[in-house]
Amino acid sequence: MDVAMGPAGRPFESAARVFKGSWKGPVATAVAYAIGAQVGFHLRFPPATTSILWPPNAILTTALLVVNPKKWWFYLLAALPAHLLVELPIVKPAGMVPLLFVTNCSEALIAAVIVRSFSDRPDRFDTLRRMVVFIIGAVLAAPALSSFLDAALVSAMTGEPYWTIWATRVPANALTELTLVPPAVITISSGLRRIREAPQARLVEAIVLSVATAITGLAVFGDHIFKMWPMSGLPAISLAFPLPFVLVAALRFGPIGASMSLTIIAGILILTGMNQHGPFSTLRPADGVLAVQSFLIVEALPLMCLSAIVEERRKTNADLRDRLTFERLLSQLSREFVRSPTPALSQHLEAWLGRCAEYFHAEEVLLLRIDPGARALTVVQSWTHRQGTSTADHEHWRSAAVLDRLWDGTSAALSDSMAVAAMGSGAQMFGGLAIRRAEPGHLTPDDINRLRLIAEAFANVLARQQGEDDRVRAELEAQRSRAELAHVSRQRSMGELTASLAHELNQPLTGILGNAQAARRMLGMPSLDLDELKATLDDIIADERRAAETILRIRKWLRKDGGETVAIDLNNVILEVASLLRNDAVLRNLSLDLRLSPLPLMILGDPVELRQLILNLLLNAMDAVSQARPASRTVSVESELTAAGAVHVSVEDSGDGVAKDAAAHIFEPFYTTKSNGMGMGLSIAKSIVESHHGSIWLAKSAHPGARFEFALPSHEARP
Amino acid sequence: MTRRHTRVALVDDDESVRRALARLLRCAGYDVETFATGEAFLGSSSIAALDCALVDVRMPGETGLGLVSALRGAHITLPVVLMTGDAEAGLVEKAQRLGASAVLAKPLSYADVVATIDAAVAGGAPVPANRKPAR
Repeated sequence: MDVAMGPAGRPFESAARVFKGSWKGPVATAVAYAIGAQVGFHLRFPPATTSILWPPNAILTTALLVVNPKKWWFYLLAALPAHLLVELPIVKPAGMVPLLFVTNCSEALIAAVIVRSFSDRPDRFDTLRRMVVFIIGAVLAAPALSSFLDAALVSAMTGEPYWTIWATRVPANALTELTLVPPAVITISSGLRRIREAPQARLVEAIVLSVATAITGLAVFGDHIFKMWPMSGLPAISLAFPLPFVLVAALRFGPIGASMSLTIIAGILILTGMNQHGPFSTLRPADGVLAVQSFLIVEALPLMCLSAIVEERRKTNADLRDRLTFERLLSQLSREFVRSPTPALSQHLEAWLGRCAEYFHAEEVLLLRIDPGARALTVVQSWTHRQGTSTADHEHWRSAAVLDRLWDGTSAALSDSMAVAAMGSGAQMFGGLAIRRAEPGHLTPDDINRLRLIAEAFANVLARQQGEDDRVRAELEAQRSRAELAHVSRQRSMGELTASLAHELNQPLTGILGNAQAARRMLGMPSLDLDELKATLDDIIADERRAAETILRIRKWLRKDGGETVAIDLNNVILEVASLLRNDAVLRNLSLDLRLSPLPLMILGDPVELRQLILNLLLNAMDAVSQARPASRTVSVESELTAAGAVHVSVEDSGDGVAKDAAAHIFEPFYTTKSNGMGMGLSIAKSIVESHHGSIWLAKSAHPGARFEFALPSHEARP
Repeated sequence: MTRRHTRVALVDDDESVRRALARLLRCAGYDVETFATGEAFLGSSSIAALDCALVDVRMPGETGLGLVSALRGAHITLPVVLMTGDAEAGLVEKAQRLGASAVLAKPLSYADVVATIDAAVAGGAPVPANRKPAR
């Protein structure tokens, strides 16, 4: 995740930034080339003429590795004036200078072509494969091959021996490629940002390590230690002293650390060698150069490979750790989302979004819902790094671009720092998860993919919330309509009972009026029978009570409220309803048999609804027998507590029974076989039984009539 | 009083109503005999000695209308005044056709009940227009 990936996945973005414009990059290359050539000319062990390091070729290689091949010619052309400027005054004959430029370019071209052909990321050296490709292409093949051309040219122009030229040119260029190109390329493509972002402790460690390497190198190669403790044989092993620092640098800082520490040692070796110090001071200058080069190359090759391996391991470990963290986060989220009861979901949403923010290093995470009707986005929940963020701050997420992506079901980066992942089921999208980072340029395809996976977990929440909302709404709707229906039905059944109720009320009123008028007459009689008068008044009072009871019963029945759930004895409910209907039953000439269980049948329920249930079943049965002969008009109610612990009630009538084709629809609303029926009684009974967690059914009857049974869970305190 | 020896049968299944109306009729000077059911009345041996019957329409078993038709079927011309608590459509016409003298609405007022029984006993016009059961 170090290398910047733009929205289009274009690599080398920060390289492009450094080399922004069409001229800055080539100019920088030319300047570096000139400086490199000057340095190369000076890094020699006089009187030998061979350079120990030759930076210009490596600088060209660096440029070609970093920039697009289409622009190569521009960069090479830019370096030509630098080449001429530096080499014309020095190199004789002058005609050789342009030819040397060609051989320099050929080395860079060979290196860049090979590395670009075989490496998946030519700008990186953090896997063994990438490092080996670089070593083979840029360190071995390019100097070796280009040196054939170079040696031929130089040998032809100066008459020096061909193989001597080749043999001196190859190690100088190989060493330079090896030590200079990786740090240069890494720095250009990503290193600047890496240094800027590195923790302070890391920078301190790097500086301490560099200084320690330099001091050790100066101490041992400058012969200072051996002047203090002159011991024969020690200079030969002095080369080993800086090795631990190089190793630590390679292990701690990867290829760039290895390169930098090798560069420091190379520099010190060259400096001390130029002053006739160091381990190779006893050799002839020309041999000393070769010895320094050989030593550095032999030391650098395994170290560079080692650093690449370490880097690869570190990266793999980091990826693994990151992946594990992600998997843990994902599985925790999924588990919690599945386990938590739906009402608890929204309470924890913000905390969960916060955990996602932590994982993605985001400073803002939003859970969005698509309102399909309005084609608009609403913020379901948000988490933000800043305190006191209001919903108005989320306006930038409500843009058409965000909505369009979510609508299409895509998960993508919207900019360097913003990304959204759509959530939905099938083609139906209903929301998205959006993140915004404080620092731009961080969102990789991996991040987007993980955001998508997290979004899927959150989709579950949204779906469940939506489902719960729908369910609750439907439940409330059903409850309300059931209550309405029950009320209407109660009023209707009241209407059906009006005749008997009028009779029931008229009887005591008749008694009261009769008695009162009789009493008044008695008072006017010559012989006042006080006992008879008292009995008359007592009768008035009794009738008054009777009337009041009836009125109370009607009022209770018509009461609209309800919804209170209490422990109630179903036997009492049956008795209450039966007493209400008794008069009606008498008038309809039918017998109402109650065979109730001797034990109370306690259930949890709404008394108003339960009365309605019994009334509907009894009225249904009474209607069913109305056409039968008076002698055989029977409605019987039985109740019992079953062995399974259910309260069981059956209502049987002696009517004609239920026709086979009607039986399937008998509990459906508006289904009726009666000419004046509304078809609500049994469907209301069914909904009441079901809202009390019971079931109702049409049972097989031994007699011709119908037998309805229902069972409700008992609320008996079990011994 | 002219009705000193007028004998009235009272047929109603409701005991308190029966007691109250019996008391009222006695206060008005009638001799009253009560029956709890239509069957009990029809099986009574004293029908021949009665001058009038005040009968509830809605009763379990034999109803008021059934009682009227049973009497007429037995060629008994005893005047019958029916009383009812609810206004069943066509009841008055039906009662008239069967041969009832009048239909009174419950609750009964003293003046109405006395006037109606007296008229029935005197063989006056059955069911005056203004005696329709009140709704």
